[in-house]
Amino acid sequence: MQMTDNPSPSIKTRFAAFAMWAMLKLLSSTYRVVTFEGRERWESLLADSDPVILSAWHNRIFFFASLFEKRTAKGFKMAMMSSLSRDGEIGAILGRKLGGLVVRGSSSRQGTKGLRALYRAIVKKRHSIIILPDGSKGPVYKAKIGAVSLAQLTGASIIPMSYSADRYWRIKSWDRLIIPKPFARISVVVDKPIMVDRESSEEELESYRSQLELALNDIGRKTKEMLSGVVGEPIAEVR
Amino acid sequence: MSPNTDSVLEVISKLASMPIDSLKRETELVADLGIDSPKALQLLVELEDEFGIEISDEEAARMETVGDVLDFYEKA
Repeated sequence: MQMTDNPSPSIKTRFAAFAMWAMLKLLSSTYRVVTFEGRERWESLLADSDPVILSAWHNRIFFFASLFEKRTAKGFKMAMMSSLSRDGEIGAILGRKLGGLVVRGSSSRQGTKGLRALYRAIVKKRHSIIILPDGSKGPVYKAKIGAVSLAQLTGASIIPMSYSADRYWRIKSWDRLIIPKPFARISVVVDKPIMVDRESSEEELESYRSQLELALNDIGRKTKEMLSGVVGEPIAEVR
Repeated sequence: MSPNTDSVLEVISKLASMPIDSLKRETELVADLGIDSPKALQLLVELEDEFGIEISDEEAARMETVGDVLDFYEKA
């Protein structure tokens, strides 16, 4: 099981990862979370001993990375898969800086090996995992089956998450990555868990996959609605 | 003790939704049975759970046909 970064990422890659990390730390310190639905569910993750599968669309990772760091800093054990591309290398370095356990692989290359590593992280190491189900190459907002398969085989529930920001940059990547601008107001939803039965048929697994996709799209819309018209002070600091 | 051939074929057959007698040694897991990465994970987990023998990533990567899976258990 490959559980480490490329042992010798180039200086350019390391610099890009450091620049991204510095930008994340700087920007996230200015964000104001104005609404947070499912906050109790989110904060209970630390106390819960059962691993979960956190799931968000690929283009929402920037802000969530700062939330994940707050969790891992408090002892929340989390693993993630990062693709074998150069962008994936940057993601892997960042993931480790944020306190996560990084496994390398993708849906297209060494997919089984990557999924097995995540399976072992849940079952043997008792880590929760983060899965971006339209990654690593899209199409955007179309969930692949990996999160559902892992939920079926491990018994861990899938927790869909999304957020919106009132002002942000859109990166010209396949997923049109969202980077909230400084002092952006942010709304977050951590949705109810999706449990996948171990004995599910192929058709039932497809139904769970569709359920996850719908949930992520629904809460994405919901966070935008929550944000519109919300004026005021940020809620207490999100831990 | 190594599992017998029929037990291994039964696991593959159930996962691929194919009758056991249609599985040949040369049947390819991906091309003929449509076993993609998530299904491969399920196959490996079920084989390990059923027979209690851990399959390394390197051994899993060598399993391209039904015969490769049978060979693994014959040698185990």
